[in-house]
Amino acid sequence: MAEFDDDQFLKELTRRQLLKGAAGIAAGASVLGLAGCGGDEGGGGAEGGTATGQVKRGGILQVSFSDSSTDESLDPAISELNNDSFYTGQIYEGLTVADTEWGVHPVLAEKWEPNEDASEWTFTLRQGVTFHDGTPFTSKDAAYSIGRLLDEELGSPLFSRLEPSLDPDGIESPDDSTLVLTLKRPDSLIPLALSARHAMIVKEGTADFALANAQGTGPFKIKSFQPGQSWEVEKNASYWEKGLPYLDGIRGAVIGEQSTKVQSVTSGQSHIADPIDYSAASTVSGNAELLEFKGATYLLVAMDQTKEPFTDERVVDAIKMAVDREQVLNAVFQGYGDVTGDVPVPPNDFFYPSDLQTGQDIEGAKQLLADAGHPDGIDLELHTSASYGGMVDLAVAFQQVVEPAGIRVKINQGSPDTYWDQVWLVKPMYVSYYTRRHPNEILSVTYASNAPWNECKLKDPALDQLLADGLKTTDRDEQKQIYQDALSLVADKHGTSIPAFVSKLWLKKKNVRGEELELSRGMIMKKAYIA
Amino acid sequence: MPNPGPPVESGPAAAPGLPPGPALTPVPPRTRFARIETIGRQLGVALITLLVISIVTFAATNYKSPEEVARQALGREAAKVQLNAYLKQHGLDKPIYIRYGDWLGDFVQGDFGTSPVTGRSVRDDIGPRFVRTLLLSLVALAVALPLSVALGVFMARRIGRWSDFALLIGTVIVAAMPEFVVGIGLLMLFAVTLGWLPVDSTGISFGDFEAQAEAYILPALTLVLAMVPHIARIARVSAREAFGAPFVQAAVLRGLSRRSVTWDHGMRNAAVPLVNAVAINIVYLLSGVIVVENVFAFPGIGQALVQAIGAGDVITVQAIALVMGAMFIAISLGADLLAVYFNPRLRTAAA
Repeated sequence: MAEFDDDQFLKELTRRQLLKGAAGIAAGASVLGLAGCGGDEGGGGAEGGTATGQVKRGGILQVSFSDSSTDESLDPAISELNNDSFYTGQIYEGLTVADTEWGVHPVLAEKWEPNEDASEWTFTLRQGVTFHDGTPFTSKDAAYSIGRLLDEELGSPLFSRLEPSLDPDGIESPDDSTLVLTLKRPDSLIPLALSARHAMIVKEGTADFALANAQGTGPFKIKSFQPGQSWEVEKNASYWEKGLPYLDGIRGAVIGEQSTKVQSVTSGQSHIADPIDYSAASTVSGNAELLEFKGATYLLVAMDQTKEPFTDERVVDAIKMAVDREQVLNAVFQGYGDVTGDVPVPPNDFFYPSDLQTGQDIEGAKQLLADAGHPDGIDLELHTSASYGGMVDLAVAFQQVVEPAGIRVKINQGSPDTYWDQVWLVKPMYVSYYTRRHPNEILSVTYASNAPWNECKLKDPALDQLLADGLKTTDRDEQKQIYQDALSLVADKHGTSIPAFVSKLWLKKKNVRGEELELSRGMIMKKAYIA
Repeated sequence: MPNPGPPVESGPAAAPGLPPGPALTPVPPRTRFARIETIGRQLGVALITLLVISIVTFAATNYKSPEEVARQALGREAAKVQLNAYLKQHGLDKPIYIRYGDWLGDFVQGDFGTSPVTGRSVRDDIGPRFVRTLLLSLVALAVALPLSVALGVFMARRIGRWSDFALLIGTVIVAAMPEFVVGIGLLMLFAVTLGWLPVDSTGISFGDFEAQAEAYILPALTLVLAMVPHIARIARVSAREAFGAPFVQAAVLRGLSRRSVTWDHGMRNAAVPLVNAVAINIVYLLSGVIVVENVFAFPGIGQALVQAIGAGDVITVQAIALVMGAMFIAISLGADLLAVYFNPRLRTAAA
């Protein structure tokens, strides 16, 4: 059989079939579209389908995490760190899974079909799947799992995404294998929203996620759990994808000290470690290698366009133009990332507009400032804090690269404790960050007129219209046109300087194969093995 | 210069280690009463100290405003409604002195409370960790104590010679290095370069007995290296003073064995300053444990403390701080009592 081309396959599939709901992928093939993750052709979890050779069964793999907390639980709906995202991602599964091009693929749902304006969705669920305790998975479990996300008190990060589209009354399960979502508004992105790790399916009625109650349908089941310290999962022998998983089990441990964590992968018991600092990347050698998860997150400099001097569009343009993005990327993130043209999606995103400027233009910036009445340059105060890795370094790098254009930046570093209450969305200019989301989601929460975190405070009816249109169409080409237009608007008009999207640097032993990085769940291990 | 002469093989049987107890020096009843009084007074002081610790801890861990605690727990995306609900749910809307009173009342009854961050009982969470930390400290102490006393005596008997000088310099260098550096150094040597021991102590969470035992070695060794230089140098000075004392010279002249002179006569009297030095070092040990546990990812109370601070888990921080404070006090109280035991003259005086 000819060499299988993931990317081609994905584009064909997503365009023609997926959003229309035909079950395009045979059971077992969840192609996540990342380099190094060979998908099984033909399905059925065929062995030896990976590009790196014959799989090896058995063994216990250890993963070490710095990003962990004592308040983590076995409830997937409220996971927020690398550690809890990882273990819930092995225990539970969602109805769908998304690849890095925002194509959506079946997991516990076999297919899905919208009505004409995408305001009602019918999901057909996989039959013959059981929870770890043997209970069959039905639409009641799916309805329960999605319904609980709509309870604000639960505090799931998915609440703000789902709430505008869906009420608990809109969830119905007419029979065991059918789930119907009747929405409050058209939302063509519901299958994508449900691919988030928070929407993974738990057993109907589970409220207390004690060890015995943490029943999922995933390739591994929970064996021990000590929050903030360790966990163990073991192979689910009756997993619905025949032949998977390969490993006997996985165990997770918390290693707070970074150099110990790196050494533990290089010369110790750990096979994988959660992301390390960019500055430590050069110390990785020997048996360990970096696993670069591209386009994971971005930092930005936000300017409030209702406050002086940013009310003048020429000043905002001059500042964005004066940024040497390459230099910022290298100085702050050691080059692990990709420069972008001031839009909240990475250049490898399916919806990234092709014609954005990313070069520095000092003369142009000076000219614009002069036109705006600042021939001698301009003085600005940039707020930042050590709330998130790189935020302070970004401010310093930003200050240096825009200086030649006569933009004199004074850095004001505040306490992380009060930053999100007293600086963010309050001061005229500050550093902020987000993790990667679909363009419609990130634009809706940070750029739309009614966005909860509208950092520029700009109200642009054209952008609002584009976002509403985007939710009405399920046609991939139409979506692409809409989001490219919307992102170009943001690059043109909005007061956010986004120099680069940055990678997350996971770490693994070289003999670990078959792990899959996934946008929301982090790492999926059902096809992983130790060579 | 003490010069005990050549060792005599058939000296009186002398048990190595600590000298025999007060059975040899009977205590008259009047003094026994005075001793109880002394102990009582010390216990009272200890209780007041604990109360002060609890107030200071409570104030220090509540330096953040309730709104900041809520924000830290809920993240930047939480709405005002959620913040207020959080404050109410965790009683953070009450004034600080009421919260302190509630907390102290529960604490003295052995109820460490339920952490608002984790939603679990603090005692259940830190209990197993406390046991591991205690075991780690005891292992380190069991190695460090005999080693450093022996080293101190060895040096004291060679004062003025190059071996004493070299060891003295060596202990100064090791003592000057923070536990963090010592720990990373041992890790690089024994785990990375030689590959004899595991890099981290995560094996305690899953491994078999052997894996668990191995996981204790490097953290314990780091603590040993942190304590030995201090205790050895004090032991050296105490031993030197004792060896120069007339009664030791007399013992030598009486022809007692070198071992008997050193331990029964010399070190028995050197024990008083030594006990205090050891007590101070155990206090260092407990703070060193926090650093060492985090270097080696050892799942003990020090790791829990750092995690609790990171998570803004005030109740857990308070519980750990107070438990450690209680241990500090217990140790210094124990040291005081031991000093009394070694020096009968202290029995009537206020220590």
